[in-house]
Amino acid sequence: MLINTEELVPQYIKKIYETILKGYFINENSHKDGYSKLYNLIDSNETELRAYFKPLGYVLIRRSGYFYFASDDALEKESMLELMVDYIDIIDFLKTLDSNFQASYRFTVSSIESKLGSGSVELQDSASKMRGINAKNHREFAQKIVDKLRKSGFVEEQDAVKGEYIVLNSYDYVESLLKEVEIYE
Amino acid sequence: MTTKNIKEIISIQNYCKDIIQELYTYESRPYDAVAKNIQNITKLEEAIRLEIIEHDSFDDELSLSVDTEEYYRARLGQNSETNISEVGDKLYKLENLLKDYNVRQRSNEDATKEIKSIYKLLNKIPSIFKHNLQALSSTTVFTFKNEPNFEIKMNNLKRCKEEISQLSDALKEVDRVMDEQWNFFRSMDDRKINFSIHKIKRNSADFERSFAQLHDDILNFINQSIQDGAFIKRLKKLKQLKSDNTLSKNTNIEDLVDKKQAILPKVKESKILPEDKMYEYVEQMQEILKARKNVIVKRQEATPIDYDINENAKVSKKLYNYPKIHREFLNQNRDLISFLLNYPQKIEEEKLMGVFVRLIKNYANEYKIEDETDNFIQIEDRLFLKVYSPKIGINNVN
Repeated sequence: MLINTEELVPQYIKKIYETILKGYFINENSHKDGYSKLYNLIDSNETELRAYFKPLGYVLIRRSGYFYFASDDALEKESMLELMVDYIDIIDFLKTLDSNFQASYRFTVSSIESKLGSGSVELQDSASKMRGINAKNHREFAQKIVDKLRKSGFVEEQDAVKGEYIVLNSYDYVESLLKEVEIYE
Repeated sequence: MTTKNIKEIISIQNYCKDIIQELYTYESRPYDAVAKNIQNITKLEEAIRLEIIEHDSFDDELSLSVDTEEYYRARLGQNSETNISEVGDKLYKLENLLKDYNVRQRSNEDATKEIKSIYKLLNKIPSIFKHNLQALSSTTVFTFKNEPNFEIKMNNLKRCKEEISQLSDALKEVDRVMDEQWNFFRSMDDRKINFSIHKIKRNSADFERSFAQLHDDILNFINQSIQDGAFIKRLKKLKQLKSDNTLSKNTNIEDLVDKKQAILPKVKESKILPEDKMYEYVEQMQEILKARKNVIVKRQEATPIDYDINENAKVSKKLYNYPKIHREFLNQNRDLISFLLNYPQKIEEEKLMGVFVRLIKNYANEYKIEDETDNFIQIEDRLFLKVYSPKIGINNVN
C-alpha cells in the first residue's frame, strides 16, 4: 500500500500518537481538544492511516462513532477483562438510574445524587452492592462514579458552569462487550 | 355575570406574557412569588377571572388553565395529546349534516347553511389527522428517549402502537365515507366542497405513508427496548454471578475477551521508548522528504537516464561502520551533516542522506536535535536538521 505522507497532516499524526500513548478513544461526539476533528480526519483517511500505523504495531479499530487503537497483547486482554468485570456493577447502577443511559445521554453529578436520594429501593440496592466504591454520602458516591467513567474515557464534561456531562460514543466499548457475554444456564 | 371579549383577553394576555411564559415552562408557581413581580395585581386577577390563568387556592399556586396551555402547545407545535375519537365525531356530524341537506333539497329549501357547515367540517379533517400524527410521533420519540422506567416505557410504546393502528383505521373510515358519498358531494356542485374533498383524498395517501412509517418506527423502538430490557436483566444475573465469584465458571467472558482486540492502555511516561516519540520528528521528516522529492524531480528533468541493454549492471555496495561514525561524532563539536561532509573516509554524495537518516534513526535518543523547525542546513537542494552531540550541546556551538 502506498502512503502519501503529504496528505497526512503532521499535527494530526502527532495527536494520534499522543492518543495512543494515553490510551484514549477518539470520539465523534467529543467536544474537547479537537477530538471530533481528529475523528473526521481518521474517518476520511482511514485506509491510509490503518496502513501507516499497522507496521508500528497499532491496529486501528472502527466502531459506531468512535475509533481506538488495539493490540493482541495478553496483558491488555487482562485489563479488558478487569474493565468488563468492574463495569458490570456500574452499568447495572446506571441502567437502574435511567434505562436510557447510553451514548449522547446528558447528566450532572447533582442529578445522580438527587435520584439516589429519591428513595428508589432498586437504585439504593444497586448502589449499596457495588464493589470498589466507598462513599460517605450520595454526593460523594455520584462523584466517584462520574470520575470513574471520565477516567475510562466514557464521559466528558460538556458544560463546566452547569456541571453537565455527556456520555461519549466510546461507552459502547464496554456495554457492547457485556452484551456479548453468554450465561450458561 | 362575567362578560368577555377577544380584545380584552388579548390585552390581559399581553400584560401577563412573562407570567404565561413562566407558567408554561415551569407548570406552576406560588401565587406570592408571581404577585410580587407584577406591578398591577388587578391584571393578574383579571387573567384569573378570564380563565387564562388558574389559581389553586388549596396550594396557593398559579398555573395556566387547560385551554390556555393547549392553545399555546398547539401554536408551538408541542401538543402531545392525541384525540383520535375526534375523527369519528366529525364523521358522525357530517352524516347528520348530509341528511339535513338532503331533506332541505327535497323540500326545495335553501341549504346554504348546511353546505357551509359541511365545508368547514371537511376542511378540518386533514388538520385532525395532522395534529394526531404529530402528537403521536412526538410522544413516541419522547417516551423512547426519555422515559427512565423500563416498564412505563414499554407500556407507553405499546399504547402508541395501538393508537397508530386506530388512527390508520380512522383514515380508512374517512376514505370509505368519501367514496360512498362521492356522487352526493358532486351533486352539491359546490366549488369549496369539491376543493375540500380533493384535499382529503390527496392528503389521505400521504397520511397513510406517514402512519406506516411511524408504525414501523414504533415497532423498532419496542424491539430496541425489549433488547435493552433483556440486557438489564442479563446485567442483574452477571452481577449475581460476580458477587458469588462464579463469573468465569458460568459465562464465556474469558473466551470472549480472547477473541477481542483490547484498547491499548495508557503508557506511563517512564516507559515511553524513543520510537514511541517518533511523532516528534514527523514534521522534520516531512520537510526532509519534500526536499528529497524536489531533488529527484530536478535530477529527472536535467539528466534523462541513458542505459545500454547489453551492458552488465555493476553492483557496488559500500558498507559504513555506523557505531564508529556515531562514536566519532559524539566526540567533536560540529553538527551532524557538516561532520559527515568532512568525514575522513569520504561519504559519497548520494549516500549522504541515507547515512544521516540511519544515524538519527539508530541514535536519536543520544543526540540533541535543534527544536526550531525552520532552522535547517541547506546542502544543494536538501535541507538537513541541525543535530549535535549532547556532550557539546547546542548552546556551546560557535
